[in-house]
Amino acid sequence: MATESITAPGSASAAKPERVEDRIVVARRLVKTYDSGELEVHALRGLDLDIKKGEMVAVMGPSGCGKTTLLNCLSGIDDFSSGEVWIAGQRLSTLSDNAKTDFRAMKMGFIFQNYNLLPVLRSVENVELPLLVRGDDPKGARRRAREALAAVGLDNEATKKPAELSGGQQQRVAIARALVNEPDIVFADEPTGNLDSETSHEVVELMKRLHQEKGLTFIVVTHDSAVGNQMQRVILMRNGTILKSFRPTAA
Amino acid sequence: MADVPTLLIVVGVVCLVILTWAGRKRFPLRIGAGNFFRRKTQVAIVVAGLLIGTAIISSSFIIQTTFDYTVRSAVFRALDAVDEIVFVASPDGSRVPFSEQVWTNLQANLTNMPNVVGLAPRFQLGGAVVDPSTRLFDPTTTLIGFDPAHDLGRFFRADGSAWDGSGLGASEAVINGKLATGIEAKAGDTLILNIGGPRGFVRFNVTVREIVQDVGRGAWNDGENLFLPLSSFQAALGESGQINTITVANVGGVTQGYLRSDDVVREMAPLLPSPPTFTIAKAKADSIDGASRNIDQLSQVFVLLGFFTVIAGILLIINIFVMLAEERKGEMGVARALGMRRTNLFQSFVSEGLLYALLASLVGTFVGLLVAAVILWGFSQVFGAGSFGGTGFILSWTDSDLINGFAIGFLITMATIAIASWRVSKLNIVRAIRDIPEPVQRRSTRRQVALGAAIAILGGLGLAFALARQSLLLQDLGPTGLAFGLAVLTMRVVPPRAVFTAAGLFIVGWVLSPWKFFGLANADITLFIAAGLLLVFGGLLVVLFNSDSILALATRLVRRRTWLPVVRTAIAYPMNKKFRTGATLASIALVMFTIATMSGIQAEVSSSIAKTSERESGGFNLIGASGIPISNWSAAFAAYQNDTKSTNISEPTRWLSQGRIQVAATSNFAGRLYNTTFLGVPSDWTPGFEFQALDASYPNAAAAWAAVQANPGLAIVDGSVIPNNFGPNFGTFSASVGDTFYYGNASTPRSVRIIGILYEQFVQGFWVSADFLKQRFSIEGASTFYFAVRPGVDVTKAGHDLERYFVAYQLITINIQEVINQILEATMGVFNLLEAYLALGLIVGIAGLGVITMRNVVERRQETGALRALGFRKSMVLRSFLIELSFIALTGIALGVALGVALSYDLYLRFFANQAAFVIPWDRLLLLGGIAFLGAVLATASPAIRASRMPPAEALRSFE
Repeated sequence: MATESITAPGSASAAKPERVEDRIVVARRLVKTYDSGELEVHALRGLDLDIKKGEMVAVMGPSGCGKTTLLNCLSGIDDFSSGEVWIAGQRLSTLSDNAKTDFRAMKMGFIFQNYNLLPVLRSVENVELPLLVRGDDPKGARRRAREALAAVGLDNEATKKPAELSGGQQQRVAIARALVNEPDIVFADEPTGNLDSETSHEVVELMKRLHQEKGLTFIVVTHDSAVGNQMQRVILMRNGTILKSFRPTAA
Repeated sequence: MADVPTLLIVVGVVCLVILTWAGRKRFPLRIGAGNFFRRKTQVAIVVAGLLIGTAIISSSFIIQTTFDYTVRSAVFRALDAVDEIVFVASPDGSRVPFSEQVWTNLQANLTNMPNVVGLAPRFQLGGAVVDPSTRLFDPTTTLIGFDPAHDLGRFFRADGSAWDGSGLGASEAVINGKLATGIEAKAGDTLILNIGGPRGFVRFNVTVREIVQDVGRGAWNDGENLFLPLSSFQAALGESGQINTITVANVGGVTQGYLRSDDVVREMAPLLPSPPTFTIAKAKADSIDGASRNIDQLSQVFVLLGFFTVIAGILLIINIFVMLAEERKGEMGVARALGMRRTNLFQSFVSEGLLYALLASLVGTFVGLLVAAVILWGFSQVFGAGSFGGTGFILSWTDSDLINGFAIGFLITMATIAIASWRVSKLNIVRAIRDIPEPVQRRSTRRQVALGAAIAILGGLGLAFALARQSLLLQDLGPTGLAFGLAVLTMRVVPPRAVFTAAGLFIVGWVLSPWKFFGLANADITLFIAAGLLLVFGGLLVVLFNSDSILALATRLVRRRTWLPVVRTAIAYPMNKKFRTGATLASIALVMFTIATMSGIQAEVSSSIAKTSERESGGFNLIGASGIPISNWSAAFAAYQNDTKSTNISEPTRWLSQGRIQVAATSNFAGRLYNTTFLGVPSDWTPGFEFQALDASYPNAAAAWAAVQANPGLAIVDGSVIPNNFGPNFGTFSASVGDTFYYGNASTPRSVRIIGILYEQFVQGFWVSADFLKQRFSIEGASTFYFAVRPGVDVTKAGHDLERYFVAYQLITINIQEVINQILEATMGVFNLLEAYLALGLIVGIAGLGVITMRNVVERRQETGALRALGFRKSMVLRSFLIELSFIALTGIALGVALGVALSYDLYLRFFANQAAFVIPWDRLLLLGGIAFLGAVLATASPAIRASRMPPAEALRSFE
């Protein structure tokens, strides 16, 4: 998939393109409006955003400020109303639903608050799923899934189903699933939302370690400042716009 | 059947109890009602699923009523005002004339017979009628000499006007529509009557005065009838002052009079002279009884086969309520946390169920009416409009059919709902609120151990009882209970998969095993139903407890990599929800099992037809029966060949003499007497009919026939004495080789022992020596004939030629193959209808799948969103859902078909192995399986498509 020239924030027009190949996520004038017929909710109001390759970013803000909507629009699992998003140089609005799906399978990993593991599959089967989806050889997929589980410290729990694991273990399986296809970028939506503080800490440390080891880009939506402070950068949102972007002191 | 008010009162009491009980605290009732009215689409689907059981029940009642009404109508139509017939029987079955004075005396004693309203003298004989103007003839016309002043009922002219026959000229006759149509006669035609009268052969002419409708008096016995003045007939026969029949009408009219037949016989018997020995035949009562018995068997088949669908419907009800509960698990958990008791949850579910049950039963009752109408329309197509004497099937129902259907359907539905509600109201509050899956149970609980022990003990007792009482049902149920109980019991120490697989395989193997304790010679349809339920139960255990292997096999079979994750998720989900999947699988498998078994039997019947023809025909093409015995058949047949120059028939022809007789199973003639026939076999003929049973003391058929010739105490009987447990019986009594029957009278009983049983059923009775018939009863004329038609000759035409030549003897012929084909066609038609009736049950299975899929789509929204985020395309989500439901549907279909074919093979070995090769009706099974599968796909496609189209972000956001 070829990358293309994109316009950096602050550029007056698209006539003066600026090469921004070190940025893995670029959003321009991103708008997302939910229209329920009677009511229009402006979840994103012309938001601009740039995230560099290998960056670990937290998106924070009060409930309803548009954090999850931003993550959904950036990852292509939701359509935006206007504006544009480039991921790894790929303009999302030009992709069909299938192409976007395939793009996600190849380039992205996801971690959800509710883990969203398939309860009917074993841990290793959950982890290998993204590899099988993109068409990897089943034997190779199984080997790599086991490696991913080992990387998150769950090599002994490979044959257990989610219901047999603790919440922290389930989230670690979800992390292994997110990383197994070696994505360019990992989207995490409240990854510690269902965990106690100790387990949250373990999960964040795990993500940080994997970030350092593999140089992956992480975009983590959270309302937990303890988690946000562990990231390299925090993007603070309010009312569908970015209020400010800053480096937390802990980082 | 319980009284209508009783059942309605029970329904009312159930409703009242639920409303009072659940309404005591108001909120359970309010929650229940609120949930009912919350989702209209869901209500429609659930009601559609629930009403099938009621529809089947009410349709079976209506079918039964229609059959009953139809046969009664046919009898009322055929006998009109006549309830009893008084006559003197001769050994050969004909009626002996007696003095008209007998009637006069009875008429004078009418006041002593308060249950009798009318008596009429008749001289009634079979005869052949020829219309020279059309050159057409009818050899089986009933010629009735009647007295217009006294005869019962009335004629109805073509214009509908009634007429009692007065004013009929001495040489005039009235014929009914059936005869007129057959010989194309019209008013004014001269007809030649040929009669074998009491004093010999008589021929005379009459003129048709009137053609009357086949109703009222004209419909007599549903045959071709010719009425002429009694005095003219007596004169022509040389029997002045003599009659041979008195018809009797009872108080109560055409439709109710027969109910007094027993009283009439009691009142009349002492008033009849003795000798001769008069018979007072309860014509109408016996006809209704006989017809009802056969038709009841058929309607019972509908009721019993409908049982499978009702069971499938019960499984669906349980499934629906379990899913409704799962859907509301969170809110139920919160309600429990807030202080709602389990009983309150139960009450809210039961009150919601009450609304479902009432609505479903009400709608189901009327759907049943529709189903019955469709099935009866099918029957009309199979049997033709002329069946039951032209009455045809008239869709009939009573209020009680509808009320009973509604009430029984409601009570079954409500009972199932109550049990399902009790089960689902039991929940862990935390797991319900947090939507945590139920923990996987690895070992049996103490309660399960106790239950397993109880089932095993019951199974063991059942087995012991089966051995002691030779019970076929317990022979299957006992070992099944024992195996399943032991599996539950040993689950504590042995892996469940191993024990339940072993139990499932044992149950299937045992039910199909040919090495059981007792044979299935006396098996009936209830055993078939029990076997079906047990087979499906065993098969389900094997499938459900080997889901991992099925999953592994399925994923191994899938070569395309992009399909692998789709197939894996598609099959993993249903296998993870064993109860839900099991109930749906069972619904589909049960129905497909019955259809497959029925199709298998149908195929066997069809493929054995060649053998049946061979067995029935004994190598002949035509069977002839003459109303008047032909004393020198060889000479008569030679004359036929000489006069007609016909070479249609190959020689030798064969004949039998015959005499009607009553036999008893005991020498003191206590108990029922059976009307049957002694068939006299000439000494120069060894019939070639195949035996289905032969006394071991005779090495072969020839030896048995020789023994019959030598010993008048021995006989061979036709195949109708062997009971047919899977359909109507055409025989009058049952018998086995070695049985002895008695004739004559109690003071000097004579016996005849059965040494062989033939397959053929066309000519029914005891095959004895013709010489014996001649010596004992002075019967020597030939009245039954077997003809082989030369190759290339039209068999039916050859028969008509014989009929035409021997019209004076009232010869009629039957094309054996043609009749067998007609019977086969009707049988196949009935099978088709039964299968169509059973196929209604597929709606239950399909509705079950629809409910499951709707639930799955809602339940898995977030997981579907996650899959979409991970790279599942829309088409992959759709494929996943479709493969999942296809997997359930196809597994159910395959399980049902496999078990059905296995049972068909079992039945084949027992009943058809010596007639034809085993046939699996693949085309039919594929067609029915295909329809079931297509129905399942169509029923579930919409929610699956909706799921695939849901944007992933929306799916991830959604909560139930």
